[in-house]
Amino acid sequence: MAVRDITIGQYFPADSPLHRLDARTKILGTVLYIVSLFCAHSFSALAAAAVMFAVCAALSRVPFGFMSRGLRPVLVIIAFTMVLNAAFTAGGAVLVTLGPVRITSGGVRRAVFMAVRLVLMIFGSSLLTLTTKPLALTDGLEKLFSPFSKLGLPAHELAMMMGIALRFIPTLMEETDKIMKAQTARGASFGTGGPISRAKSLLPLLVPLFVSAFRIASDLAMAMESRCYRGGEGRTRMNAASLGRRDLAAAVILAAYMAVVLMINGSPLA
Amino acid sequence: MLVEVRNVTYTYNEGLPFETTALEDVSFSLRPGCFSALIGHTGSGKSTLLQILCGLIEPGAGSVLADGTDLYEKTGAALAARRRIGMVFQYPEHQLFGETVLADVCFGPKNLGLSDDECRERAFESLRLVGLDPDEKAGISPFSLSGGERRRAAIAGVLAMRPELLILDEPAAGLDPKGCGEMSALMRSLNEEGTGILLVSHDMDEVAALAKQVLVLNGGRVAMEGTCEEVFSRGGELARMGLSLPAPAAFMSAMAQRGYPTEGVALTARQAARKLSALFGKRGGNGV
Ligand SMILES: Nc1ncnc2c1ncn2[C@@H]1O[C@H](COP(=O)(O)OP(=O)(O)OP(=O)(O)O)[C@@H](O)[C@H]1O
Ligand SMILES: [Mg+2]
Repeated sequence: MAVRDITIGQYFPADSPLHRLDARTKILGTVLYIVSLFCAHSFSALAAAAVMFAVCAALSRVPFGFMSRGLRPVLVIIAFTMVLNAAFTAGGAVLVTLGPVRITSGGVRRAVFMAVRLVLMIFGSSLLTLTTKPLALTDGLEKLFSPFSKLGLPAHELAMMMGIALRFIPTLMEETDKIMKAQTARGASFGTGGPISRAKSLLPLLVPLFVSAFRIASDLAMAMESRCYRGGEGRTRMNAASLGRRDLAAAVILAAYMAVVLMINGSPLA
Repeated sequence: MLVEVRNVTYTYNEGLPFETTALEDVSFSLRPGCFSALIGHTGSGKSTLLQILCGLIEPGAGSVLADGTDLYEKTGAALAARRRIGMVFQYPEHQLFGETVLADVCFGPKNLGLSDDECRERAFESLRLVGLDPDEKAGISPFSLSGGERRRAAIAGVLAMRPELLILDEPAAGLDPKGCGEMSALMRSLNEEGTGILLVSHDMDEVAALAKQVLVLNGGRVAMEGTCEEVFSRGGELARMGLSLPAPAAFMSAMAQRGYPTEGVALTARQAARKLSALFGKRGGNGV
């Protein structure tokens, strides 16, 4: 079934330079990468971003098929924004006229540009969760937030919440899959008929799913409390992560990449 | 209905580095009105096989035939055949969603396209079968039932479709001894009325008491197939697959190791007692 194929937030076990980087480096790197995508205003700058992604993806040793399989559902959203962009952007020569809607060359250009940017953003950020264990990710977030905890930001709690949310994605997918199968065995069919009957057919899936989510959450809370979890105060790590030479190298590469994007943007080449 | 499984193979996450072959070249058949048990160590592929049997996941290779119809053809006949096979999943109570117990139990029959009256009639009948009083429980929310009652309500939801073959994945897991006994009685009475049953269980005493045929899976392959006597007389091989014997059989084999061997295998306490009294040459006072 298709639900299981959604791999957003999933970790892919492998031994690669990207896996071995500190989580903080990868988080900041991902943020920087997303910023660079928003800075890019030309196709050539996007091409640089695509090259950067391709290099990282190759380094990560995550099979491209696995990455793209999980992101297939997002394609719907991308297709939708493409249509909107193509239809509602004016400028350039008129290519097709469909009633009141005029599709212009500028519109098509913009639609393609936005789609490429979105795809790179989603694939780029999926690399973070694919190469970082949820626990390492949580720790990294917590460390990054911790300077703000003096200002009253609950760094540990925020990081813990994000970590649990990430951890729950596959669990809920599994649960969805199970319930879907159970209802299918009772003759249910999902996603057929008109919009109202479609929405109605989701009820036998959503109600048990919510009940399960609450059950799993309360089990988790119980398990944490019975192991004396009391929040972040005074908690230490068994395996403290540390930044190494590898992270320094990554930082240099990222800085160089950012500079290249900005340069291409500003150059007449664009 | 006659169900034939032919050379079925199934692999999870095919083509990825962490692919697992859950089933490999599995073949067997279930006769109409059978009572078969499927046993195997955890991870041996039992749940995967059950899902393939009731038409939920398409096998990578091989086929499943129900009275000669391939379950995975894209035809109306295949759909109709799938609907004649009922499946009670592990922890079926997690699938409840209806506003009332009645609405939930009616879900299956409604999907079969039956009239409201008929759905209601079937729901009441199956609630009675599982030991829930319809007059008392049909109108309340399934979430206000106790854990054991929820399981019964969920099973009633499957029975209301009147399957010809009922597949159950550890239906007694987590029930109290009384609940387990009632579960066994329910399966036995359904079988006596002609429903074929395939039971997955880790409780060998339950298997020995109920099943006529036993199928043993090990590492995704059929390791043994036969009657209870045939399978449970191979205790050594079962132990190597991480499986145990029913308690009376285990006791008799311990006796044999101490130098008191007996003929055949004892599946129930009664059979064990008979063999022991024969061995020690005494006749039981009350005719065991
Ligand atoms: N959804 C899944 N994705 C990947 N692998 C799976 C999945 N479900 C099962 N497996 C793997 O397939 C194999 C068989 O699993 P299955 O659930 O069929 O075993 P089982 O005999 O039912 O075990 P148990 O007695 O614990 O219920 C196992 O190795 C398991 O890890
Ligand atoms: Mg199982």
